[in-house]
Amino acid sequence: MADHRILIVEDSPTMRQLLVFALKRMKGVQIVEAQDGMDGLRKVTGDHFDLVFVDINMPVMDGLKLISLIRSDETLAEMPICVITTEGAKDDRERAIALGANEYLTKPIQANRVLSIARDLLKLPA
Amino acid sequence: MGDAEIADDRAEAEELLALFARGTELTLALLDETARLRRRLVEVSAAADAAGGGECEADEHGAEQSALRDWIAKIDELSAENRELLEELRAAESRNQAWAARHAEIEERHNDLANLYVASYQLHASFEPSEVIAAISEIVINLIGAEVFALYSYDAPSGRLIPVACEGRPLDSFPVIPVGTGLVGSVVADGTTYVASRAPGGEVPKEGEPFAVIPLYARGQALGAIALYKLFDQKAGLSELDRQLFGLLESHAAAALLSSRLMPDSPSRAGAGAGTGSGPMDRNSN
Repeated sequence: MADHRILIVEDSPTMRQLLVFALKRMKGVQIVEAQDGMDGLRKVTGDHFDLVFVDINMPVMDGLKLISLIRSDETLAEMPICVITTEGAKDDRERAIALGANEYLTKPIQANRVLSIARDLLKLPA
Repeated sequence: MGDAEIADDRAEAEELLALFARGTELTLALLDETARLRRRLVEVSAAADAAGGGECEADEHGAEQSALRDWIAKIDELSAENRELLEELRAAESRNQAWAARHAEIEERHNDLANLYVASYQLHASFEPSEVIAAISEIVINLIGAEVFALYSYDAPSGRLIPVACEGRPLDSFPVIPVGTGLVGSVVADGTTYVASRAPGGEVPKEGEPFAVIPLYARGQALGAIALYKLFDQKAGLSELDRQLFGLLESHAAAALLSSRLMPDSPSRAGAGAGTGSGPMDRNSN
């Protein structure tokens, strides 16, 4: 039984694999992947997650829409969300935070930054 | 080493440092006390010499002096011991710093290896030309951090490099380049990765020209090139990992593209750009 369940919603297989690599260094973590916003919404509403990483630019449903839908669901209102953006996409990042995202991660990602954010949002010791 | 073990080690190191810090305080206090007692001994000796006095007083004074000398000897011994401890503390601090630096180095290496593994894995995850091109693009954007780049495919019949994928600008803004002309064409003809040095006094890319060009070769045959024009703003420059990724792309991206062209049942071969009518060019043949 995993202590923490993390959902990664990201259309890029490269980014998903890198995030999984980084997050698997934490003990007691179960990671689930979703390849677009709609897939992410299905998974996040159908199961319990302690943390969600959400890319902004995705096909079918983008990350901003997904965040707004998650935050409009009372049962998911407190679930920590970290958005994945590029440094240049400052507007998207600000919109994501305004919609209720708790943190952001800029590409190219660094494993230690991913771990630091995950530990912080899961309230685990550094 | 697991994260929990690293956290334990850090906590232990911090505890040790706190203990050593307390030891340093005590040592300094002891050294002050030694100095004070030395001054007191000098004062007592001077007072005794000045007083002179009878035999009985002299005996008493002698015993007092003897006791004081014993104390001073003991304090000197303890001071020496404390100096040794201080030296050990400094050595332990130095070792701790060396371990912290080593830990950071291993973390960085781990991150680099993960990036290289993921890049290699994704490049060879598909025989579909469009998916191989997507994988190359993702590596350039997400792992290297290029904001503007173009992927060129070598078209053998015309001897030209045709842009087939890009980021940051429209595809038609990247020109078709005859092999052997311009920076990109020359790099492909030469077969050696080009990276403009940004060090002071080094080579700076000309306006509109890429700062790095990676020729894609497989089995000595050119298949195309990747030209990088701009990095994301948060990237100050190219890292050692970026250069390793260039090397990986040079060989693995080309091999993946070649494999995708050779797969007869690949459904999107005709529309993938990189696989249409293109033939390889021998390395340094131009």
